[in-house]
Amino acid sequence: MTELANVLYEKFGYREFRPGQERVIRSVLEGKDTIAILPTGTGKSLCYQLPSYLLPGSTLIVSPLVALMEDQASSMRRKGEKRVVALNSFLSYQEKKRILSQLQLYKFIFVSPEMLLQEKVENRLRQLDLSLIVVDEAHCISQWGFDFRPDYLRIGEIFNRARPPILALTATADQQVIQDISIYLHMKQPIVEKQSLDRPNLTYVIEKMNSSDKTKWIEERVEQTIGPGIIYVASRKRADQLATILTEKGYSVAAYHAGKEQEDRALIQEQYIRGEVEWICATNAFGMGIHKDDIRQVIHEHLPHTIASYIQEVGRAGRDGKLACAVLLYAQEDENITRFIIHNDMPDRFEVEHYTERMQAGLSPAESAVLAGLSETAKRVIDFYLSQMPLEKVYARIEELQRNKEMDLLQMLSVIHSEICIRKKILDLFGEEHETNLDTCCSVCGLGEIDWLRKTKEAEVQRTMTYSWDERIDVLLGI
Amino acid sequence: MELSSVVLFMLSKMNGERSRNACLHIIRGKRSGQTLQDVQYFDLKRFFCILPKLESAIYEEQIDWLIGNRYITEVESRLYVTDDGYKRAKALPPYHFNGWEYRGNETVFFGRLALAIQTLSYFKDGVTSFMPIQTERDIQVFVKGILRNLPIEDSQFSKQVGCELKLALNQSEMSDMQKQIMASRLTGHGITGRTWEQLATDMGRTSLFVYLEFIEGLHRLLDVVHQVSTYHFMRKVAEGIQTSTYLTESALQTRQLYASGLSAEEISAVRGLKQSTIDDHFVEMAINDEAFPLHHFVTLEQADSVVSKVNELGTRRLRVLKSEFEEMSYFQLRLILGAKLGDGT
Repeated sequence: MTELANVLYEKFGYREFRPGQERVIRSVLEGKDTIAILPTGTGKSLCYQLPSYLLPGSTLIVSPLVALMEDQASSMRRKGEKRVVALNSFLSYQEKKRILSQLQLYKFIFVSPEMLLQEKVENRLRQLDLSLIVVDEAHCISQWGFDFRPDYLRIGEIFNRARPPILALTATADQQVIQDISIYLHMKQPIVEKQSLDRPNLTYVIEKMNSSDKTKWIEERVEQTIGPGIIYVASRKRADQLATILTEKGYSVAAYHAGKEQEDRALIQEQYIRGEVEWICATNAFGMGIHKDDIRQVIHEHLPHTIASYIQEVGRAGRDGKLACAVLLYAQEDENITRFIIHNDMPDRFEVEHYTERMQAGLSPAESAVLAGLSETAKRVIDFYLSQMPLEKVYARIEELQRNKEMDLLQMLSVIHSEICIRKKILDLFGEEHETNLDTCCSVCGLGEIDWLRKTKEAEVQRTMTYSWDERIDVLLGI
Repeated sequence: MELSSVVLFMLSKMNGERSRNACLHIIRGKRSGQTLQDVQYFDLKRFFCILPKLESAIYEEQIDWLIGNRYITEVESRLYVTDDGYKRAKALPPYHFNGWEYRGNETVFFGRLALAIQTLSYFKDGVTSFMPIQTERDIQVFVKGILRNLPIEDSQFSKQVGCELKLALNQSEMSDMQKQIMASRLTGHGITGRTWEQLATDMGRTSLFVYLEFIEGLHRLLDVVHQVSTYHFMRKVAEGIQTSTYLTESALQTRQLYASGLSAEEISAVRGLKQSTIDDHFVEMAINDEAFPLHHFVTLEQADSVVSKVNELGTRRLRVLKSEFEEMSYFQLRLILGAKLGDGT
């Protein structure tokens, strides 16, 4: 066995690497800047954890989502690695001070981009012996990506001089995004390791119908085919509404979206993972950090705004490698509805004008943003541009962004209306070659009856037992 | 319980004396001088802050429903309870809220309890890793703190906690439905808690109905936990939940400055707060502090004549009183009402 394989077994308990992992790890160990594009659920975190054990110093991991960061840090702690710390805005002042003063004790340091920009944090990090810098969800650095984070752009500036290698990780990236990652992180001739986005066990189906028929279609689908499944819908309100309709019909369904209180969201996740709930009606808030391998279906009732987000959402099905199905329900009016939502989300020239005028009039940026009708995300983006370029250029940039969003939508539509294999079409858009010869490929290639999806017997949903209150407490506490 | 019934009960106490939203402010626990006075005058302390996040649209729905069913009427934007309304209010079962003592902190208590029970539930089976039901940092830190020194891996200990919990639930005299809600909101190894919506469906009620039952149940539970010294575990969980000072933090600062010799105007300048805010603080003190020096602001004769006028007219409405005592300011009138009639008698 090679040294790498030894560490893999001793530290992680695996006998073999997943595709792509070993090449990424070797590249990092050779001190090269590396961009790794690995589909979600294929062991991205191993790509930095393993080399860290072979490197003398600490590893810094920049991660955009606090929830995701906490999730990863606690999962590492659970597996026995105690030298992990997460620096984010959740920390109290005292905690932050304590952690910063003993930062050298940690092997793995997670940090949010906002934190990285704080002078104290930045200075402290410069003093450390860092062996590796990891940028997770690196597509956030690209202004063309679907969740651009301006803070990310400054990562490259902070570690400009003598620095350890950077490993950029992401699940989906086309050529444009790869280029942006490389430029903005000031990478030196990075090695790009790209694993195919293709998920051979996933069947793509596009169903065209009238909007008014979608609910009925979903009802029948839930009645006749197996879960567990996720139904992605356009809004919180619709998630609640659809969940209610399906629950009233006697199916095991719950709604999930960011408008629900935190405890309820945690309970629904737990019920879903344990098989107590079979279907989730969700907005795109659902999915990140959910570890469930046996999801058999993902249904989109609405049109996703970009292919990248679509790929990520359907990619949650079939992690166990068994067959899974992704259905997108499309109605003609969806195109314009989605276009409206996208443009509504994006700031326009008028709003930016309004925003800057208010600030000149002496209002705080936060107040001005509210008055100008800018969302928090929009404000973040505009603030960044305003700090970088004159107003006229900002307008031009916004128009460019608008055009890009439109391009994303047109790409998504090109998949919907594709006359060639859907799988091939999607892979084409990400610059991948694909020759199709699967029986269970997609609705363009032809599917016939999808037998494996049919419910054979009454679904074995683990219904929650009805306990009386004192029985519940007995079960909970082992009485 | 129905929010509309709670609102009707509260309105029957205030009957037309206060504005349309006075009730909403009490339920949300608004810390303004006016609301703090209202809960005292009308004996509504227990409803203070029972739903801190109540949306005004939901409140309006209750009002509309009550008007639609002729339990209340609206005259010149004041709400009056009808005869039918009074009959209905009298027939309501007694409410056991204790909002004045807990002020929204009861949900912090339950958050801690749920996380502690979840931890014990997993640890008793030797499982030391799970997704915590509570992500709020303060709650996590608190629960870690109390569990650190307890034998949480000992299954005898989790049984002991379970028995304590069951005993306290029984002793609190909350309804069976409330016990069911409490137990169903707990989650653990092999048994997942229920969401508000699921509980509402189970019980054939609305989520709000279930939630109000939950809050009242929590108040009753906390009351016995504070009374009975043998609830060792739950007393730890309930630490700091009960309000220790009835003054707001801000009013406390004003009180200190006043005690150190500053005038109201000087306090306003030093603290950079509006005079009206400082006035509110004084009214708060007048209500809550037995030793409040009312004579610094009005003469004893003035105070006595206002009190007898209130009794004579049977109203505490400021505008009415102001027209009777033109020489006094609204601020002075509020101080007298607070200090002399603060207990609602």
